[in-house]
Order: sequence, then C-alpha cells, then structure tokens
Amino acid sequence: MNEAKFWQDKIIQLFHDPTDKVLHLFRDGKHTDFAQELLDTFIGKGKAWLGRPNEAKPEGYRVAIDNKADRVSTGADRPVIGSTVTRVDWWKYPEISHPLDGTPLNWNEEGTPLNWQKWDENAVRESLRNELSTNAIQNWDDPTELSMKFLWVWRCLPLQLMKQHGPLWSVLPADSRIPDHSIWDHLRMASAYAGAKNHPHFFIFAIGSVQTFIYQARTSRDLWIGSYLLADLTWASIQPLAEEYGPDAILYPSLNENPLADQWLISEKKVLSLPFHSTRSSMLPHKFVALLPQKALEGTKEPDGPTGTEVMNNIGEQCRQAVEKRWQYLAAETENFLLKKVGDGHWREIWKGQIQGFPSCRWVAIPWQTVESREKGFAGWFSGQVWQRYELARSVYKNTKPAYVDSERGFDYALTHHKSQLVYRSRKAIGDFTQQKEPGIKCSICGEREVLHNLPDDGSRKVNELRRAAKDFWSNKKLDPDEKGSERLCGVCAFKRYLTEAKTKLNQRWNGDSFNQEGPAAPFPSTSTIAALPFLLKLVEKAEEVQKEIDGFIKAFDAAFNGEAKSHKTLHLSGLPSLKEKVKKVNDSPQKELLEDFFQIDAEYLFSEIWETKIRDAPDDKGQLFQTAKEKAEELIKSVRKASGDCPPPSRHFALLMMDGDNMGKLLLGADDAISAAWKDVLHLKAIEKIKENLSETGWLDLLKEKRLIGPALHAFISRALASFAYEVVPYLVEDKYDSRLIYAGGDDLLVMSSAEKVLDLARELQQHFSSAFLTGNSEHGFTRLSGKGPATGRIIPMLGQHASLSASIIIAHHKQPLQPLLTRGRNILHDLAKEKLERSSVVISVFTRSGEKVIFGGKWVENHIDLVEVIKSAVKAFQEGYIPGRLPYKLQEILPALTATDDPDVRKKLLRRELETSRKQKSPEEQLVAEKHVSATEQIIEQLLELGWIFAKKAKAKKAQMQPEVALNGLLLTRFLGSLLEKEGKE
Amino acid sequence: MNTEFKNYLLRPLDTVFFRSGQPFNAGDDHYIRSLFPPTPRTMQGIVRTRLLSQAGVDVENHTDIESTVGIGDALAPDLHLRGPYPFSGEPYFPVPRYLVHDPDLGYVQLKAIPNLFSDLGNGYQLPALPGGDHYDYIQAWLPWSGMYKLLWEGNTSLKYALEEENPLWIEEIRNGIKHDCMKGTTQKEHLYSMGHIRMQKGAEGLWFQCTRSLSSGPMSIGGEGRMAAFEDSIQPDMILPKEIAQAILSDKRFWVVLIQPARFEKNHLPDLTEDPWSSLNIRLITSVVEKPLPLGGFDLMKKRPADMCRYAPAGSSFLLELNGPIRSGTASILQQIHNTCCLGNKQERQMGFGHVMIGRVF
Repeated sequence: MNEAKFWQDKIIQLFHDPTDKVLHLFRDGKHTDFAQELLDTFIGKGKAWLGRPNEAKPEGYRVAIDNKADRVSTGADRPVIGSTVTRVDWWKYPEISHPLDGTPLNWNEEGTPLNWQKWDENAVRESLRNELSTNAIQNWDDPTELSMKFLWVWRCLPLQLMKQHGPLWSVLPADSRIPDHSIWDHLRMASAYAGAKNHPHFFIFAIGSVQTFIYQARTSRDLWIGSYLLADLTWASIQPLAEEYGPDAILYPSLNENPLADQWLISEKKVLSLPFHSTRSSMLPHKFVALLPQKALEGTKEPDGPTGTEVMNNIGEQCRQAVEKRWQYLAAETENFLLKKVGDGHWREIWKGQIQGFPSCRWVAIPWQTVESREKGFAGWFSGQVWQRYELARSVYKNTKPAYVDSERGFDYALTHHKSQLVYRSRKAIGDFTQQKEPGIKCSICGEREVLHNLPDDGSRKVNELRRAAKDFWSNKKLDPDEKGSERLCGVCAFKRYLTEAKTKLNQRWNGDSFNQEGPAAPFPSTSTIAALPFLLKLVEKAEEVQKEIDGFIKAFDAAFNGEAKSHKTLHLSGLPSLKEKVKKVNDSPQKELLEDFFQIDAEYLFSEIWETKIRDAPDDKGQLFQTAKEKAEELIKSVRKASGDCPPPSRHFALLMMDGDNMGKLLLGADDAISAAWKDVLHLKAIEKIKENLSETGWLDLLKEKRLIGPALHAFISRALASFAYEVVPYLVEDKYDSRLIYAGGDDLLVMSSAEKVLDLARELQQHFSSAFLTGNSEHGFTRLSGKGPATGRIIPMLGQHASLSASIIIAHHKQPLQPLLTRGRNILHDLAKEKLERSSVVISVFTRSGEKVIFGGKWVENHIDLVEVIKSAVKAFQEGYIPGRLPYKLQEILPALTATDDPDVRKKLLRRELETSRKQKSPEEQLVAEKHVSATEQIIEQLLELGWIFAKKAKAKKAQMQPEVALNGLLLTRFLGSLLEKEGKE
Repeated sequence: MNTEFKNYLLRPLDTVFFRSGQPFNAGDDHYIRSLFPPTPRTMQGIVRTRLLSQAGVDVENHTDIESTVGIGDALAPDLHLRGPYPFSGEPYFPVPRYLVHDPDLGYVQLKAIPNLFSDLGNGYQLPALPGGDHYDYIQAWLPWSGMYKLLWEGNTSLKYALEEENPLWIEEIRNGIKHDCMKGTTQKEHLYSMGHIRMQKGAEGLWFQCTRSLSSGPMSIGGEGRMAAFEDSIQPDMILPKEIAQAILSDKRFWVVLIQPARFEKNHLPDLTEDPWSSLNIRLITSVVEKPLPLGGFDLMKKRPADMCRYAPAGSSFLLELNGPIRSGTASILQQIHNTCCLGNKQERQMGFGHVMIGRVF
C-alpha cells in the first residue's frame, strides 16, 4: 500500500463537501467551489480536484476525487428520495431532527426567513480559511505529516468552529431533506470508507471474560482498577488501528472526544492543544467495531482467498499482541514493585504462570457485501421480517432511482453490520478457554487461583504447611500493615491490588502530565469513605469550628500507629472530586493544610467498631493508644454534628448503583422495535410535502410510515450520544452534583458508588438525562433539555431520545460488606428483574444487612403516573417522622388475606385507614396531633406504595405463578427499613 | 469387572448443603450458597463413605479402604458411578447448550457455519442461528422422557422442561456465626448466611447409578452433615436405538452433549484420539461451551487442597462429523458411547464426570 496515497484519499474525503453545503445547495449551488477552495488552501492548489459528476479534471491537478466513498457513505445513511424534486431550501427552513425519536430543533424565525448574518455565515467561512491556511500541509507526499494533519481535521477543526461560532455549526445536516445527521458524520464516514475501500470488512474485536475479571473484587479499589485496566487494554487494542487506519476507522465506540483517544492525541500525537484529558473512571467498553480494508496483497485475485485471510489474521493478531504487550508491561512493573517489598522467592513462579493466562481476546471479520455478492452473502442470516424490511426500502429506492440500487452505494451497510454482530455472537458461543491447574491454597478473592507464597511445592506439602506459607507471605508488614495476613491473593488479584501503587504509566491516565512518583497511587476511595461522604462534606464546611478536634484526631491516629501512620493513610482527595473542590475553596491556609492531612485518613477510622477490633487484638501497651484514637474520632463526630445543627453522623451504609441501557444491542442493529422514529419523523417537513407531490407512485407514501434504517451516521450519533452521556453528563451528575464516585461509564453501562441517601435521586436523574433528545450545558453548570427552538449559543449535546431508557439496580449495604456478592446480586437483579420481569425502564432496590438480603422492591420509573423514586422518598420521610407507624407493614401482613380477597379499592382503603387509625391511637397525644395533620398525604403514599407493590409482586414472579401477596408489602418494608436505617444513624 | 449399573435414589430428609471448592472465611465472607446437584466428585465421596460404612471398614485402615473403595481419586476398579441427577418420577438432565430460544423462531438448534473469518481460523466453523437475531441459552432441566425427544426426534417444544415457576428445589437461607473456640463465645461481625437446598413437592432427590450394591437407609451427607436416605430406584430405558444410530450414519454429523462436567487436558475441547473415540473416524466441527466451571476440593489422601481445574460445564455440546466412508460397526460404537462417561480425565470418568449423550442434528 502507498501510505501517502492512503492518507491523501482520506483527507480529500474530509473535504468533499463543505461544512455549509446545505446553506448553498438551494441558493447558489456553489458549495463545490468552496469545498475546492478549502481543499486547495489546506493541501495546496493543483493536488486534488473535487469536481462535479461528469466534470473533467482541469489541467494542473494531479488527481480527481474518487466519488465512491461519498456515494457509499450517502447510501449507507440516507434513503433514495430523488435528486432535486424533494430538495429543501434549508437556508429558509433551518431544522434538524433527532434520528431516534424525531424530536425537531429549529432555528426558524416566525414568518420570515432566518437572518443568516446573525449566524456569522461569512465569519465561519473566514475562520475555516484561516484555520486551514495556518495548519496547511507542507508536504503532500509525506505520510507522517499527512496522518497528523488528518487527525487535526478529524478532531480539532470542528471543535474550533464550534468554539468560535456556536452550536449550529456542529449540527448542520449533510442533506437538507433528512436533517437527522450532520455533515461531519457524513465526511468522517466517507474518509473511513476511503481508508477501507480495498475490500472493506467489518471487524469486531473484544477482550473476553471481562465480567469475571472485574467482579473478582473485594474492595472498591479492586473493582475500580479492574474496570479501569480493561478500558486501558481495550485502548491498547484500538491504538494500532487508529495509528494505521485513522481513528475514524473505529465505527463505535466513537473515538471523537473519547478521553483515552484525546490523551493519545494530546501526549503522543501532539495535535490537540487542550489541557490533558485525565480521567478517573473507565471510559471504553471491552469491544469495538471497525471498518478495515482487507488489503489484498500483490497478486491476490480473490478477496476471500487465503491471502485475504492472512491479512485479517494479521490485523486481529496485531490487536491481540498490543493487548498482551500492555498487560505484560503493567504486570512486570507491578511484579518489580512487589519484588522491592517482599524480595525474590517462589512467589514469582506462581505469579508468572498466572499472569500468562490473561487476557483472552477474540475477533471476527465480515466483508461488506457487494451488489453481486449480497444475495449469497446474506442468504439465511436474517429473519424474514428483518429481510423484508430492508427489501421493502430497496424496492422503493429502485422505483425512485433504478440505477442507484444496482450500483455500489452502501445500502447494505446495515445488513452487513447486522451479520457481523451475529457472527461475533457465534464466535462467543464457542466458549473457548485454556486449562489451568491451580494447586495449594486458593486466593481469598477469586477462590480459583493459588495464593502467592514462598514455599516451593512439588505436590507433597500438607495443608498446614501451605497455609502457614501463605500466611507468612501475606502478613509481611509491607503488604499488610496490621500483619494479620488475612487477605491472601493470587497473582492476578495481587496485580489488580498493587497495580496503582506500582506507579506505572497507567497512573498517568488520571494524574496527567503532572504524573510523578510521589503522586497519588489510586484515586479511589473506600466504601467507608463513600458512605461517610455527606458527613465529610459537612466537616469541611465546619472546619473552622472543629479545627481542634480534627487536629486531636490526627495526632491520636499518628500516635496509635506509632511511626507507621503513613502506611495507614491510604486516602487521597483526588479520588473524591466534590470533597477536593470544597477543600480547595477553604481560604485559610493552615486550616486547608490540616484538612488535607486529615483526608489522607480513610473514613473507616471514624467508625468506633474499627478501633474496637484493634483494641481487642492489640498488645497491652498499644490498646490505650487505639482507645484514645477511638475517643478522638467520637469527639470529632460529635463536634461536627453540634456545629452543623445535628447533621447525621457518618453513614455505615453505601449504595452500589448499576445501570444499563435498555435494548441497546437491538438499537445498534437498527431493530424496528428499538428505533422509535419513522422516516416521516426524521425527514424535513418540506421534503415530506414534496415526496407526497412527486413520488407518490414509488411506494414512498408507505415507506414514510416505516422505521428509519440504521446507517453509519446513526451509529456515530448513538455512539456520540453515549459518549457525551458517559464522559460528560454522568461524571457531572455522579461526582459533582451527587457527591458520588463513578467506577465505570462505558456508554449506557454504568457502575457507581454513592451514599444511601442520594442514590435514588441520582439514578432517576441519570435516567431522565439519558432519555432526553438533546441537552445543552456543560459539566461546570449542569445540563438542561433542549426542545423546539435551537440554541444560538452553548452546545447541542445529543442524547438517546425519549423512547430510550436505562434500567437500574441499587444495592444498599454495610460499608464493610465484601463487594463480590453485592456486585453479583446487583447484576442479577438488574438483568433478571429490572430488565426481564419488570420489562425494562425499571429500577430495583435491594437492602443488604451483614446477614444477607433484607428486602427487595422495584418497578418502572413511572408506573400508572406514580413516580417510584418520589413515592419511596416520601414514604421514607413519613416513616422517619412517624406519620407512618413502624409496625404498619407487619400489621398489614396480618390483614393481607382480607386485603387480597377484595378487588374493590374502596374496601381496601377502609381497611388501610382502620389500621392507620389504630396505630395512631397508640401514640402520645402530641404525636397523634402531628400525625393527623398528615393523614391524607400519608394515606396516599401508602396506597401508591401498595399499588406499586401489587405490580411488583405480579411481575417479579414468573408468568404462571400465583401472585405472592406478601411481596406486595415489600415497598413498605423497604422504606421502613431505609427510614429506620437513616434515623438510627441520625440518633447515634 | 462388573460394569452393570444399579439405580439408586438419595432422598434428602432435611435440607442439604454441598460446598464448592472455593474458600469461605466467616468474617470476610458473609454468604455461601450450595451447589445443586452436587458434582460427581461429591457424590463419589458419599457413595464411598456408604460402602465403607456398610462393609464395616475401619476408616483409619488405609489398606482396607483401598481394597474396598480405592484410595484418593483412584476408585476401586469395579466401582463406577454415573450421576447424580435431580429426580422426580424420572431423572432430569441439563438442556444441551446447542438448543437456544429465539423470540421469533422458538426453540431451535444452533448450526455450524463454515468460512467465517475469526481468530479461530477458517477451518473452525462457528455455531450460529441463521435467521435468529436475539436468541438466549436455556438454563433448564429436562426429564428423560423429554430429553430423548429433543435428542433423537428434534422435538424442541420443551413442554416437559422444568419450569422456573415450579422448581424441584429451592434455596433456603440458614444463618450461622463463627465460634471462638478459645473463649467459647461467638465472634463479633462473623455472622454469615448459607443457602441450603430444600426439595420441593414432587421432587424426590438425587438419582444416580453405581456398579456396587448399596444398602438402603439413612446417612448424613454434605457440608453440614444433613440426613438423607439411600433407596433403590428405577432404570429408564436410555439406550440409543439402533435406527437412530443408523440415521446418524447417514446424517454424518451428530452432537455429543456433556450431561456432567468434564475436565480436558489442554482447553475446552475433548481429545478425540483416545478410546472410545479413536475407533470412529471423526472430526470436531464446532463447540458450544459455557464459561468454565472451576472445581477443586480437598485431597484427603494427600491432606492438601486438590488442584483447582477448569471444567467444561454440563450442557456443553460438541458437533462431530464422521469422515470418509463409514466404518463397519460405527453404529454400534455410537450406541456404546451414548450414556457413558467417556470424555475428559480418565480417573474422573469413573466418578461420573464426562457423562455424555448423543443427539441428532436437525
């Protein structure tokens, strides 16, 4: 392959249409002239001729554009609506539509054409000229320069325009008739196709066994680093492809604005002049889809022949090796770190054997079917319904423009993509694994692999010897400051545990350029700190008044650990953005220093039971020091509560929130039950009028009612919407607004740790943002919904549309509870209950005590006009205030037969009222008076909770089963439990 | 050597609890659930204990133990086991993983598709469902009366499948707390829960086969030593009919379904070069294997934890193809292979691992 030619083709495609094409198409048709002007400015005059169809290349130009990439990119995304008969004057009627739900945004000014002067049309052109002239290519034959300049146009140019001239320039459509995708997406797809045109293939690559790898976690940090590491490894597999074929070759996840891709553009490629895009959470899913050429080698005749296979194998192997190389580098660095701590020994043999077994990767590649090969290539792969849907569209296109359908115009993008996903699923079904024999004592986290130890074992050692060896190794003071050795890890779990402390290049991802060996090892707090976060924020607010107590606690802590306090100070403020911000705002320097010192101590040391265990196990001379530290912690809590008007003490419960987009797989396949918009919803109103006038004989009138088909621009749109949600909206809501901590945000798949008090509101707001059509705003001031009128300033951020939804599971648990069973349960209830039995768009909440699951309840976010989160919050408050008696759920259990025996809501209400009244009468006269004031609101809350309870009971059980009446009371039991949990902690 | 199997039922008289090989530490871990049905390794332990007890062997006497039931993983040569399987009037078996459910197509078999690019190379065919967009695997149990219809008649209605709403067993939570032996008190923060198994109405227990005679009567079993009774049981007719074996010869392809886990030497695939497979001229076309099942345990002989290995779980299916001209006797070899333990580690086959059934390709 001629590398320079490869990048030249891609660059030319990025310029084949000018940004403002839709503004000129109807007016003066001179957009091609402007495109040529821009291209000449950027690459130099005489290099490439864009031209019009059937127009000869003028003399002096080296090459004329190959229009195939434009045709394919257009056909892959847009229906055939005739060339000129349906054209819309977008200059007069500026409007865009949401491709998934059809929500319009328009810039019309009532009754009069839009004043484009106001929109800086000429200034934009001038900016484009200036930008391209400043960054012009110096050597058109230098592949290195060309690839860098390509990256600049792909990532930086649109960014510059939006910054300078406002949001409209980010969404100007590629086609005035179907304004649901932007010119930028069209250009990027054309350049991606240009890079893959030599037998284009859909290539799917994934890292395997990710769920097991992530969930084998005991602490929040294990959990976080597992998912962070996988995102890093996925990037490792993407990077060689992004380097060789350009980042546009990755169809999804979109690399545009991806933090890991930006880090590459900033630090390695140095084409993006933005501050380092550091990220504290995992930002890439473990699987990607790319469009790649099966670069047939010289002499290859058949694209599917052995040489082609070899080429695809090489690409797959290249990605796999990149993952392995990164994994081995990080593992070797971590091994060296442990070597310094515990010295050489038998443990290294175990380590090496176990590290070698990871990670596994798989890939598939499917050729983009040509017009000739489509019948054979697709035969039998799709259900009749899917096939007919695409064939219907094809027949209408044929009636509209027969020649188009018979030439290579990219119409089979969707079906080829669909087939590639089915093939990937088949590859996954193989279920391949390698055998691994793990002798001896097993790891206390995964329970599968041998623990690291220093006793060579030929298989004859007895269990006691092995246990002792494991304990000796893991009670090393440098690994366990308490020298208990109760946690004994295998190579893989130890790798995850110590990876951040080894301070490898991975730490740069969150430390950025300021990375140094003294920087924070891992910006992830413990579950105890997350549980206590609302209290810690109060502490910062009242720092001035409790300065003495903070100081007293730090001194007592240092004395208790007598010179080794540093190894117990594992917290770092960078792991808690909201707390860090609050401390940053403290003006008084000594006070700020004191707080920074205090926040190196994990919040678990504020809990008396942590000290009690230490006191119990401590030698006599140390017990008193621990006792003093415990008392100082109690004093500090008391003072903060007093200073803040009796705020609750640090909570012992935290929440684990898992969310997952509903039907996302179907959406990416373009299934008609996942995309809610029909063609009539996304086409411009003026275009529909013209279709009715001019194309009524073609079948278009029927096609208008059919759902929009998926294409690369939709994939880009979905991917960008998921990216904006994950990279901007989620971090803002989770970390800034709700003082929680994000572990993983891979698009629609979220894992968050939050405090028990805030988690419900957080979950609801995440769902609301996800199912918006468009948002505006930023991560500093928050995001608001856009509808109707398009904005003049700010940004337009696409979301998934009103028919998209997230389902959620929330596990509320004690801060010392091991995470693995909670994660497993959270995942099970998310998929089996929220998504399956409650039929998506649902949330399920489970409360765990240390003896297991206490109660579980859930339902749709909104069911029968009842907002689930709102009613739960109201009920929790009512239990806390005593408006709902604590015994009521149990009383109702007694009369459940009577309640279930009747279908008459009035009879139920009467029974309920009688129970409430009886309970009220048992209260003091003052309490009765207060409770009576809230009778009607309380009754409404209980009725709503019971109504949701009946629905939950019916759906949570499988179809045939009888409704279990007692499950209907789970809503009341849950809110009672939450109320008493928060109240109890408040009274401590 | 007597390899004639007798049929038994182990009927739980209380809840039962069977631990996996993974470590559990009260205080660190708070919840542990039982495996059910237990693995063949657990079952052979129960049966060997029973045999020793009924023979009145002194458990300190290794020589007597060895001559009666064998030592460690080496079972006595005449002691062979198959099972255990849940039993309710007839034994229940795991649904083969090659059978999937698609919302539009219903229950259908995956098909092997050639010439697809993947990291496995072009020679390895992939198990796909042409025409099915969103299929799911089936986690269910089929009684023998349903299983043979699925395997040999291609009847995928699964109307006999065990439904989630009417389970044969349920999990019942029991709480426990760690005991401080030195102080004679319970330990703070060491509360834990165990998910015991309780058989439901209609379910009778665990069905298994053994080449030795076992006496009827109660015995304590499992992690918590709960009571269960040995009983004689029935023998369903599970022989692969000759006409089905003949049909497979003309089909050329057939499925081998693991109904108990199996441990293979290198990876997820069986070694088909060893007996009894070597007598067939076959090749592996594709596999449908669930994620590996880690199994370990404790080696009483060596007084140390056993190696934790990865097993292809029950339900895993392998599509095989008869090569070239069919050899004479192939049909009867297929009949012999069906319903025997003939995959994976040889010692473990004797315990009941690697138990397979043969199914036709429809």
